[in-house]
Amino acid sequence: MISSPDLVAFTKETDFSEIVKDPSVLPEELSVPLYPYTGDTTPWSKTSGANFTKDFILLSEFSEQVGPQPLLTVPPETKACGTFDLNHFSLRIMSVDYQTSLTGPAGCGSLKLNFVEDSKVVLGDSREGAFAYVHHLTLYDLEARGFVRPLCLAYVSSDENKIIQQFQQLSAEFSKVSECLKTGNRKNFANELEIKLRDLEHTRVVLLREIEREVNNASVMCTNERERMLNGIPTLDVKLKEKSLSHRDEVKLQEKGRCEISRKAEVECEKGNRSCITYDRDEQFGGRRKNKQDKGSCPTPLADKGDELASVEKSIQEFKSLLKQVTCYRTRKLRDSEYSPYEPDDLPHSFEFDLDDLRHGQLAGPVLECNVFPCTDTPLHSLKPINSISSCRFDKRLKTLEELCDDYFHQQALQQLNSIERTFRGDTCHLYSQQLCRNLLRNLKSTNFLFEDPCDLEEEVGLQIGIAGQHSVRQPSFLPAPSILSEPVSLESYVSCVEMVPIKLELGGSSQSTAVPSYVNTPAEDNRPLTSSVVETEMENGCVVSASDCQENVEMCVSALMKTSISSGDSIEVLGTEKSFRSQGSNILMDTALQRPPPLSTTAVLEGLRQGRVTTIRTCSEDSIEVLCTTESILPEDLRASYSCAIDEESPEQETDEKDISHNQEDKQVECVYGVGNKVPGDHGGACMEDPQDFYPAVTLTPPDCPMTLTLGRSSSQDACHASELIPLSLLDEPCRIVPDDLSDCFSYRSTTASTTSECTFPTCLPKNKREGGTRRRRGRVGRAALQFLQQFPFAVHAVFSLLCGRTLVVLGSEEAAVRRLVTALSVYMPHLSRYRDGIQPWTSTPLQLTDLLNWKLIGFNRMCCFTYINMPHCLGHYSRYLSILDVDQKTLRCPVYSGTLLNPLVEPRSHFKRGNTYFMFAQSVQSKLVTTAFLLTFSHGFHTPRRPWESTWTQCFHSEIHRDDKKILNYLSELIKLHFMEVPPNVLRFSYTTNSIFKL
Amino acid sequence: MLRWILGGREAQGTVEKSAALFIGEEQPKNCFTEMQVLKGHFDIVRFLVQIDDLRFASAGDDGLVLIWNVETGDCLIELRGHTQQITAMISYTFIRGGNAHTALITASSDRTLSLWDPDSGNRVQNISDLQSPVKCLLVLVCLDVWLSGGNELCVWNRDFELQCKTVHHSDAGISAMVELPKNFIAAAMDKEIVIFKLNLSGSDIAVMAMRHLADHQDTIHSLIHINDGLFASGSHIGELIIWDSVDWTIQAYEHILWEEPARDGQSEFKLNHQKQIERSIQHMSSDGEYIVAAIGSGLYVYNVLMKSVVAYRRIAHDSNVLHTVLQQDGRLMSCSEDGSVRMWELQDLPLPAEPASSGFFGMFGTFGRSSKQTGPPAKKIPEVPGLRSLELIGDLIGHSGAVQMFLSFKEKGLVTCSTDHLLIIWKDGEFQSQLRSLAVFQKLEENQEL
Repeated sequence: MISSPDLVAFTKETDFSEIVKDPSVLPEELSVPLYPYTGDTTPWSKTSGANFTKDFILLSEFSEQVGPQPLLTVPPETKACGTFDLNHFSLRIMSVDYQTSLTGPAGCGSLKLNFVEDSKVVLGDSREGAFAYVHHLTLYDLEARGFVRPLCLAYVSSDENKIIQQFQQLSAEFSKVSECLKTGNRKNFANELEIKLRDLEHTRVVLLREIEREVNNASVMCTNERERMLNGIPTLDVKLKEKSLSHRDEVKLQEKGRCEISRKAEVECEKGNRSCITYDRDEQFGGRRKNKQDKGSCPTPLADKGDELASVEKSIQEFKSLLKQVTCYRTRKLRDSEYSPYEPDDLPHSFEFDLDDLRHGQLAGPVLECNVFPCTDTPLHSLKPINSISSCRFDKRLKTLEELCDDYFHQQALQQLNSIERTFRGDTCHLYSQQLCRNLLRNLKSTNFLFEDPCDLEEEVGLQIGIAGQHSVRQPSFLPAPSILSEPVSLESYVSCVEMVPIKLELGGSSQSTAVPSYVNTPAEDNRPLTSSVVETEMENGCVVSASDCQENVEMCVSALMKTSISSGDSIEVLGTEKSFRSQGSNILMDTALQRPPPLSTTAVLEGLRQGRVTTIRTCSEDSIEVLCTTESILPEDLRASYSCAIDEESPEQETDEKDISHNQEDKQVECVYGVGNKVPGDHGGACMEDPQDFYPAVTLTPPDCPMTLTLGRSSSQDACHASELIPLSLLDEPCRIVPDDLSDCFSYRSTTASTTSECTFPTCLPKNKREGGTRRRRGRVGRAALQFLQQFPFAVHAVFSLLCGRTLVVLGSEEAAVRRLVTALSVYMPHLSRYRDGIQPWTSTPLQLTDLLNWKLIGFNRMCCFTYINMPHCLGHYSRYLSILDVDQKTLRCPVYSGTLLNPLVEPRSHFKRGNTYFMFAQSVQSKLVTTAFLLTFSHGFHTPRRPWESTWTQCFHSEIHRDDKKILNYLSELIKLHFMEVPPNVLRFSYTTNSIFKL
Repeated sequence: MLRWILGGREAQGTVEKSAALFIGEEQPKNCFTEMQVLKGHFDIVRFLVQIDDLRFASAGDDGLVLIWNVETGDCLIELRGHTQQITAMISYTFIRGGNAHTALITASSDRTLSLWDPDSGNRVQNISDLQSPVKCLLVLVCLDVWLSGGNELCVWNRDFELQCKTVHHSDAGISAMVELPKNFIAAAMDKEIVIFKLNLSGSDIAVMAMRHLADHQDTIHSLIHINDGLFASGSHIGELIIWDSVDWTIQAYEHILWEEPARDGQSEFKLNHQKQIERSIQHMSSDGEYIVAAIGSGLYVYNVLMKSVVAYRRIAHDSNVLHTVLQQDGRLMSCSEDGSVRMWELQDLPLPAEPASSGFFGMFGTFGRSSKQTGPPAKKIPEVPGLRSLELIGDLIGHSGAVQMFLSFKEKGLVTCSTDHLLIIWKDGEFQSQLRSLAVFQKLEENQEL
């Protein structure tokens, strides 16, 4: 419902103002915020200046030959970007490459791979009107300079708010893609290394033999064999063979070990010039030999041979170290709990085996060729001595992405990119509300299976991580700003991968006078709360912001901030980085955990900002790239810590800690009740009616999985008791307020309205991305069908009643399309039996079995399945007691009569709704009310064991005022909730002996 | 009424289907509002045996014995071993090591006898290559032996050692056995009842036939124990004989002729079908005072103390009644080949001065009573003074084949087994709902989330 713009329009302004006044109302953080823009901008008035119509994903590479170039876009270029200059944009996003390099002492002994986490930045190009989430990563390539191939994945959109809001999700999703690519790349890189190592070993052996020979016959000239060895094989041949071998090796590797694949860390090549240097030395070594060859066929002096041998051995050592680094990365990375390696199952052996082999080979020395790689030697692989001079790297073809990355992983990555594109397609408002819904729904664990769309409920790991508790989504625009302000930055220089030019970073204190004045930096030791700094910033920006704690104000500040930062002309701005978002998210987590209306309490912020922040701004970029905050945002401590190890990666401990803290607080808050005196201390009842003297008597429900508290104003409950209308409705309509629990169950009318989205037309059989895309359309279709059904059958309410009280409804007809259409329409009203069973059989011709009745609650049945009983197939007659039958052909309905009132809103407004989508969501909201009441019924302790006299108020109401038929509905839903809660599959058929009536059109 | 006018066809169809009796859709006295379908057998399920308060075993023509939990409906253990259909199953409780153990004895057409441990699923004992398949089993708790009846009667001890056996009797063999006082056994063999005596001399047991009671005119289908002094037998042609357990004399003889009410000229329909009316006494059950006999598709309640008919219903089911149970509260249940289980209540008849009532019910037969049954008992009133009526208070429809047997677990539910390979546990929905609520709160408490 909140996902639908037309329902937003229905919401009255007064509803919100009421809430503010009432102390027991839904707190702000649980309410659905309106679109955060105020004043001049509305979500609809925004026009984009970009010359592309749809968001797209761009994968570009910094080619060492031609510079930044776009590699591919999702969707393909012609569809996506129109006249947008991809080359230009690639240039821009690739020129902001953040790689903290730790340049060790030059000429250091061995090659080192620098495993740096990907950088995640938001860049804006306001002249182009393009904004992008940019995810830089580097792949390994033995033939590339410095072994690295810098790549970047960018989600390009014309809406900067979308990028900002979805940063967490984008970051999580792109990290997955990046992991996938890098895993595949590591696999290929390890292959490459092994081949290289084998060749080196071969060279070494040959050299050793020659030296031996020369020692023996010092006067003997160099043999033809050696000539051939040195000159005979052109470089190209070697390369080609290597390539063909790499395919072989893939097969071989699959036999070798799953470990190799599963070590999935980021092999991020250090841009370090050390490796470049080494590589160059390698080349020099080759060149020197070439020179030697050029000298002619004169006998090579023994000393030269010795040098060569030494160089080769050194290279071997270096490559082994490289290989070891690549292979060991997995084990180090595994301690990261969020780290989920790709683990194909078909790789029986471990990669360590190879390492052992290598070590063994090291010892084996001369016999290496025949012994070292016994299992890997393939007839195709003839060892090549490394004597070729690397051809000029500018005329050799660089490996394509397909070659860089293992095929399987490459395909996976492409699929993921496509799925990302689909997931984030569309308007940011829609996207946001959809995510909001999902996050709210996710907390309704006890009941969300009943009517909600399974695709809204499925656990999306990436999103889950990215969301950091639902708060980042809840206050999306609130997120980025304060973190940007306080983002810590390392004092180290940022080294461009391209030029190795250290870019100077100014310390935060001095940067206040720099290009982007809105980004005022908190001095390093300043532990002021975020809010104050925000306010301060706003003041400096000229925005008038009161220093109130109101979150909306902060949000406004933030959005203003964002805008300010973006508006700076012809430049790409880094608008936020991952870490900033993350730490910000945790701040908010703690704030809400504290459950105080002022959103940013000082303690929480202090907790979050345990360490002083230093903000830097890079000012020296020539192409007016403004770095507003840095990628890794590594605190100096982090840097120092990581100095010690050869492979640097960002340590996630801090975030983990913060998360833990916030989780703990969440847990503690489960029982907290908003409003002092609402809670009876030590009450162990699931529903504790409050002391009547209390101002807020409450039904406090704390089921375990959805910690929530229903606080029920006494006056309203009395009203409810005396009101002529039904209790649950009045309960739900207003007096029921939610405690500002951080887990935020939504039980207000509005929020239940918000918990929208269900689509019962067999969504489980669709692949995820299809569901994503078509949900809205499908809902519209289903809603239209339902409206049509309501208009067609005046007795529709009885059929709906059958569905909602668990009686199987058979749609009997001879025409499949008509039956299916009706089944689709009725699916709107059908509660799911459990999360993974939707209980709908749209069309069947086989006679019904008893077990079918347990599994299916809505059946489309082919009348023609048995010709003997034209009117009523025998099986339907036999089980007629358990079935309601809607006869499409004769337009009759045989089912129990419904005479309650709960369902009336569901069928009455048939004349008011024009759009299927709207009706669908309206139906959902009515059902949400039912579910809420059923939930209350299920978890009201007093209802089941009336121990205290005052407890029974509500239950008495339930018994006395609710109509028998409505009780049936609620009981059925309650039974489903119970079974779901007990994790028992719904394997019983509940029925009642009631009279059936026949309705005829 | 309106609904019948509107939906005449459907209503008629239902009435036609259960020609004998049609109970309305509202059954306020029927508490079974929840069912659980148990799948596991591959052929007709014929036997249900209760093991303890929670468990029961089912067996049938597929040779499988399955042990179920009546509360959850879970299949606990599958006992495999018999290659052919199971012909008899009995539970056997014995004391070992101070604890009572319950085992299962099964007999199969593959001429084996097996003892199963329902806890572990082990086949503790097995005897194969019997001379004839065993048709019935009887456990004598006082002697701690058990008997198998086939073409001969064998006596076994707890360890499955054959103690003694009788000579080969006839091809018909023993179809049923009843324990009598003083170590006597009554066994039904075709048309006669043979009284055996078990002689105990030290540890040896000998069995000998004492007397042949040949008072039945036709094959005896049912032989039951009523109380310490009486047992009863029923034959294929509707003879019900009540015997004295000690001196084996006939205490009462009833020849139930269903034709009798038909002679009253009720309808041509019944006359036409006169020959088809089954009079065979398929099954009897007793609570010590009353006997209920399943005779053809009808039910017959007899008071053994008063030696008088209490109530009867000539057509209680659409097809042969296969199993009956008399409950304490004057209710009885029956299951039939027509796939339904029906619950009956003994009710005092309305005063004979009110014939209009029957007419009323006859006209509007949708109020839980059938027009066809209220007639005959009413006419019987002058003849049999204490006659009561057997009113249908509920039926359970679920099986698509004959319901072979049912087993009541009191408030925990009722288990039925059927030729459609299924078992159904029928439960009281309200009660189950409360149980689930309790479980929910128990779980909440366990998780300390209250």
